[in-house]
Amino acid sequence: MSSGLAYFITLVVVYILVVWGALIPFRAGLLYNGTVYVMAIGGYTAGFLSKTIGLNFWLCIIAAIITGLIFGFIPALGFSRTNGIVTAISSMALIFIIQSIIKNISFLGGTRGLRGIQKVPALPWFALIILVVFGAFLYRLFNSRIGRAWEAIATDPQMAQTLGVDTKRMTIVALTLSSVFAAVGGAVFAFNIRVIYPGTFSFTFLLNVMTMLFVGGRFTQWGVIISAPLLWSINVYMPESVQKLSNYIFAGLLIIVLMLRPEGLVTRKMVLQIKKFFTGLFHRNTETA
Amino acid sequence: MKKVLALVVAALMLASLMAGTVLAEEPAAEGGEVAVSEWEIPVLSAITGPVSFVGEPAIWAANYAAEKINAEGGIEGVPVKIVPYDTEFDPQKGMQYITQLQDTALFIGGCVAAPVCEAEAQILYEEHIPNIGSYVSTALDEYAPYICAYMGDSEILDLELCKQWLEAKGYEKLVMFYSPDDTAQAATVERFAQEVPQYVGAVEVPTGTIDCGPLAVQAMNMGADAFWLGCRTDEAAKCCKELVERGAVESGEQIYATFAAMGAGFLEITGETAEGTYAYNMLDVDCPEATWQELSEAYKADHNGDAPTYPPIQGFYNMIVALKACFEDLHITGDPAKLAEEREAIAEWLNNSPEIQGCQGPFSWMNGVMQIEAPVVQVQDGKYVVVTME
Amino acid sequence: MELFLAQLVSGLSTGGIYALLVLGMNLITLVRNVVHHGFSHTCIFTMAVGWLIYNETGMPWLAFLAMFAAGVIVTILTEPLFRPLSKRGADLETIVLAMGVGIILSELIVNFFNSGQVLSFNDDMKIFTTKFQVGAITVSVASIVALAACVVIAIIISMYLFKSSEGRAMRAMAQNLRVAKMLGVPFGKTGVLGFFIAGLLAAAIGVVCIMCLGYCNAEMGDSFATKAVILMLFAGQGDIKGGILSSILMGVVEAMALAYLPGRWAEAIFYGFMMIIIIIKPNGLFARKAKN
Repeated sequence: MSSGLAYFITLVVVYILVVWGALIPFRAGLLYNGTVYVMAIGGYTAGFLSKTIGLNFWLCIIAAIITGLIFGFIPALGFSRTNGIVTAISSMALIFIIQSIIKNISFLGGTRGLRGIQKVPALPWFALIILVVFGAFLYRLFNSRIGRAWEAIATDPQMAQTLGVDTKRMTIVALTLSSVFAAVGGAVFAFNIRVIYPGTFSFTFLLNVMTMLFVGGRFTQWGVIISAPLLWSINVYMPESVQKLSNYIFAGLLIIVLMLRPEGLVTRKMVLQIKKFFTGLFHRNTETA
Repeated sequence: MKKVLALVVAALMLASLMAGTVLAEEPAAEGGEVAVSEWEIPVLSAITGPVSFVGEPAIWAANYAAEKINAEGGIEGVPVKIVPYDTEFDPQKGMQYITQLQDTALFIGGCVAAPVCEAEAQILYEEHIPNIGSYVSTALDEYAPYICAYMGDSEILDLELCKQWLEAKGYEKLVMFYSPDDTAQAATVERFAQEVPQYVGAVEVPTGTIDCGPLAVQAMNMGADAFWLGCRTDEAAKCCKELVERGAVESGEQIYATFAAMGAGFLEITGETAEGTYAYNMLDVDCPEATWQELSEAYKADHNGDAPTYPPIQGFYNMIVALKACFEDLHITGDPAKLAEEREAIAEWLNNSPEIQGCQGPFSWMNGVMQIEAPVVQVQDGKYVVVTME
Repeated sequence: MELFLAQLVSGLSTGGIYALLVLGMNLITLVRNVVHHGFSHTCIFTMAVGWLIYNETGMPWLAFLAMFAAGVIVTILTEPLFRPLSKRGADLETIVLAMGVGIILSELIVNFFNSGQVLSFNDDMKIFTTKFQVGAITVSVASIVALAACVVIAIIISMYLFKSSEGRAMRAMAQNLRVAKMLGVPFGKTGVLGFFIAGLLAAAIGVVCIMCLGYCNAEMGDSFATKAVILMLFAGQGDIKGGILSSILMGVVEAMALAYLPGRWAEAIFYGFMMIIIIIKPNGLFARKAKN
């Protein structure tokens, strides 16, 4: 695998993980912008441990999961009180807060950033393994009781409450799990880019994540698997004249999809049809065999 | 069933990636002594995005230098082609290009922004790829000999020129304004705090501050009589204006701005308040050198009559000129089979180079640090005038 | 004491700009329940247009006219984008769409106005350049005018929205589209009218920014936008009076933080404080009782 491709795959995996992190709260009817904040925490945890005590990749990922859980849980307690637009906007503030805090912590490199994160030669393969594991987990999660409870909250919170769903607790669970995904994404990101700054985890990053989420489709977990490589390759593999327009393309796509195709490129219906097609194929095969 | 679905999705994803790499591969060239039919020099710069006003002129200068070299017969008789890569001031994109280039490139030029550069430097060092970019001295030590700076080291120059200024004017208390978002400036302030006895404190100017009045007042509270502006143009200009208007300084001479503040627009925002302010700009806009005058005319023709004021213009021009000198001196062939040894040789040559004729006079590198004169200027009647401090 | 007063005055003038921005956002919220993250970008865009026209023609009044035209054109053109979402009741998505609008406007400013450099305005366009100077305290006529304009515009807008029949129709539509439609409120026309007013307001904010700041660049849109959106929620969405009060308050708090705290912490404190208040009082600081 060429180095450019390895970097590309790993970065796409990072984006998919973070977008999944944003997708979980969306299942519960929340637009949560704290994913980039937890990414910073996951990235700095992994980067710091790898740099100072030379912890290996998988242990760093586990450490990132733990810090993600903790630092996702704390704001989740607060956001369980709010809903809708208030959650969306005030969670955005977390990005600015974490940036300021990291800038003031000297052992994390302050404004000068954290350098010297170990090189992991098999990183793209590791990233793909993580992607499959987390993807499978997410698939189970969305089809579990918790997943159905979230869907009920998203459709009608009052009805969900009368049906015995503890909306507050479910919101906390959603935001915390979302943070785990984002933290792992952040950790993989840190190993990929190997120099991280407080400014890396910025508002622009959030916009990329949101674009990938909305363009890919925010009702299934599969949409982003298409939208992330597609959108990122505009920046990389397109001729320069197109690259110059990448911001217009990102924003334009976002607007067009939101207006005309509210479910995104990959819709629930599409997934069902594909499912049906393959089950049909599978059944016919077993019948003939 | 689920597995099948997952497999299909994975296959689709891989297919899209493969399609991408095929597009990105470059054809190999063959020839006589020089093994390429064209020197393709990849140059990274923030051509669009928040610092495009510096990045675009930089690429322009690289292209200008290449055209000029080609008109005079190229390098070893082979024409040069600049292949621009737009980082958009985003380390993610910078790293993407570096990883794409790391397997094949003989040399990588750029980029113009410190955060992107530091991300690149690690890979350049590991892969032994020579590079000229915007580096601070600590990075130059760490990743020697593969990286060089295209500007005189701002930390060392800042310190030297600032000391001269304080001595000459006899100021006793220095306050530094700097942007906490800029790693290079943070390093400079740390250094000042240790080495300049007149240093009394620093004021952090967050990028995008709307009203710099409070910051000026904060500096005045420290009882300073000398002010050093290291933040970006917008904020530096506003701070300068507030300091003068609020009476913190008796004359503009008590203010000293670095090249970061010297972008176009500084004089427009400050208006008359900047009168007397000292600055150094890494390049002399009105340099009488014929090469510079020619470049300046060409630049104005392409930029609606704006003068070339940004230091990377000189930096990127000199970079390409240095490359020509280096390739001809070492008889570089560009043969992919000799990639590793030629990279090594170029890096060694550039890191401690002989004297090269740049667009504003001679320059050279010593341990990756560019040795070049940086003129001190003073604002007189709304214009920058080159002065000496004594 | 003198320095403290100086901070207070500069805080008030920054607060005035925030107040106008929050007022514009509130207007759009009341008209179409959209949190318009791109409204600040629209203001900056009008400034850029004004800069261009002045530099081409040298006539400040023509430039001002162009600014108002630009503001109205941008808002009217973006209004249809929000329609399908408002009809679906997808309020959360409107924030994301508005961000998209903001990106495009910023990108246009970077690409087509002075190649992305700072746009600084000539004294002709600043109108009031007089300043009163007492020691470190600077009181500029421009910031007094800005504050006064803010109050006057706020009163006019609240009168219009809460007293006139068109205003009532607009608010009804934002609150409950289906019922409003049943009562015969024309969806398209009312929205366009509301956005038209918002466009005029955007240009007015542009003029105030020219007077008080005297320059603009593309990045200002982003830094204004996030602050204004958060400030609006801080006071309570749609609360015009609360919005103005809290904006001015936060302008002062920010000035004090910049002056007396290291710059690296100012942002964390500003946003942290806001977030905690928003979480404790999700309906806004000035909300008397829960809406539900």
